Amino acid sequence: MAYNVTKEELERFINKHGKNASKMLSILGKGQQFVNAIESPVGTEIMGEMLTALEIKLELIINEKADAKDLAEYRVLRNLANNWVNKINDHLNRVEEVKKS
Amino acid sequence: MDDNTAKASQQEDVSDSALDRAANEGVTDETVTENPPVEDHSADESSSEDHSTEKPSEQAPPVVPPDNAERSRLGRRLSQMESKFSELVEKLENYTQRNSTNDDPFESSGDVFDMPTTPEELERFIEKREAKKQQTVTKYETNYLTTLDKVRVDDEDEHNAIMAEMLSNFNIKHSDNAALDAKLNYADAERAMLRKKMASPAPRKVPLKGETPKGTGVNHGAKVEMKQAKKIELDQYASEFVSKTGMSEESVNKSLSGNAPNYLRK
Repeated sequence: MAYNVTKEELERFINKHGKNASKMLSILGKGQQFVNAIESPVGTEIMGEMLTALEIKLELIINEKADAKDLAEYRVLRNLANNWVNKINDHLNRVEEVKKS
Repeated sequence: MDDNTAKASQQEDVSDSALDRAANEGVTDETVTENPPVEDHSADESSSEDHSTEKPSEQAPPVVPPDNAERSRLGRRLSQMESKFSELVEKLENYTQRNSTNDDPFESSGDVFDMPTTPEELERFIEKREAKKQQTVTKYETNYLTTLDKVRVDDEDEHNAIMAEMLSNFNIKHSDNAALDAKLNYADAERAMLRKKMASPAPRKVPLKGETPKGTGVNHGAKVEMKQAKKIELDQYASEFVSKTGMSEESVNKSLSGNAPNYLRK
C-alpha cells in the first residue's frame, strides 16, 4: 500500500521533529484506523453500497425523474462520501509528509 | 538772384546745424530730413537763430553717455554696486538673526520679566536659578548611580572593592554627561584595583600534613552529565501506528536522543 510508512522513514521523521512528532503520530494513527476500517470487508461493502445508492440517485436527477426525497437522499450520500474521501486524502497527504521528511 | 543765393545758403546752414544736433543728441536721420523747407525768410532766420541759441540752454544734460565704452563701464559699476548692496543686506540680516537667537540669561530662564529690577524680582530670579542648578545636580547624580548599577560587575566583593577604589580616587566629574562619567570612573577604578591585585597577589597556602586537604583548583574526574531528551508519550493511536511500522516506544525515544545516525541523514 502507498500509505505504509517504513521504520527508517518514521525514525527520520521523529528525529527531525522531536516531541512534536507525537502529535502527528497520533493523527496518523487515527487516520490509519479509519483507512483500515474502510479496507476491511465490512467497510468495503458499506462503501460499495453507498456508492451504488449515490449512482442511482444521480441517474434519477440527470433524467429529471428525481423527487424531493431522492434529492435529499442524494445530498446526504454525497456529503458522507465527501467526508470519507477527505479523511482518506488527508491521511495519505500526512503519510507522504512523513515519507518526505 | 541775391535773394535766391541767400535762401540757398540759409537752407544749407539749417540743415548742417540740424545734422550736428542729431549727431550730438542721437537723433535719427528722419528728424533731420523732416525739417520743413524754409520759405519765409524772416521767419526762417528767427527760427534758425532760436534753434542755435535756445536749444542748448533748454536741453537737460545728457543722461546716457555718448560713448559705448563709458556706458558699459557704468553698467559694470552698477552691477558691482548691486551685488555689494545685496551682500551687505544679507550680512545685516544674519547679524539681526544671530542677535535674536542669542541666549539671554533672563529670557532663557522662562521668566515673565526680562530683567530683575526690584529686590523681590532678584530674589525670585536667584531662587529659580538655584532650583534649576539643584535639579541638574540631582539629575546628574541619578544618572550616575543608574549607570554604575548597569556597568557593575556581577561579583559582589569585587564590585565593593571597585566602588571603594572609585570613591577614594576616581569619583571625578569629567563632563555633564553622567553616564559617560560613571563608565569612565568605574573603568578606571576597576583597572586600578586589578593593578593593585596583580602587584600584591595573595599568598598561596600549601596544604600541610595534618590539615584537611584543600582543593588545588584543578578539576579531575568530574563527570559531565549529558542532558537527556525527555521521553515522548505516545497515545493509543500513535502507539498502534508506530507498532505497525515495526517500531516500539523505546525505539521512538531512542531515535530522539543523540544525533541522527548516518543512514537517517539525507
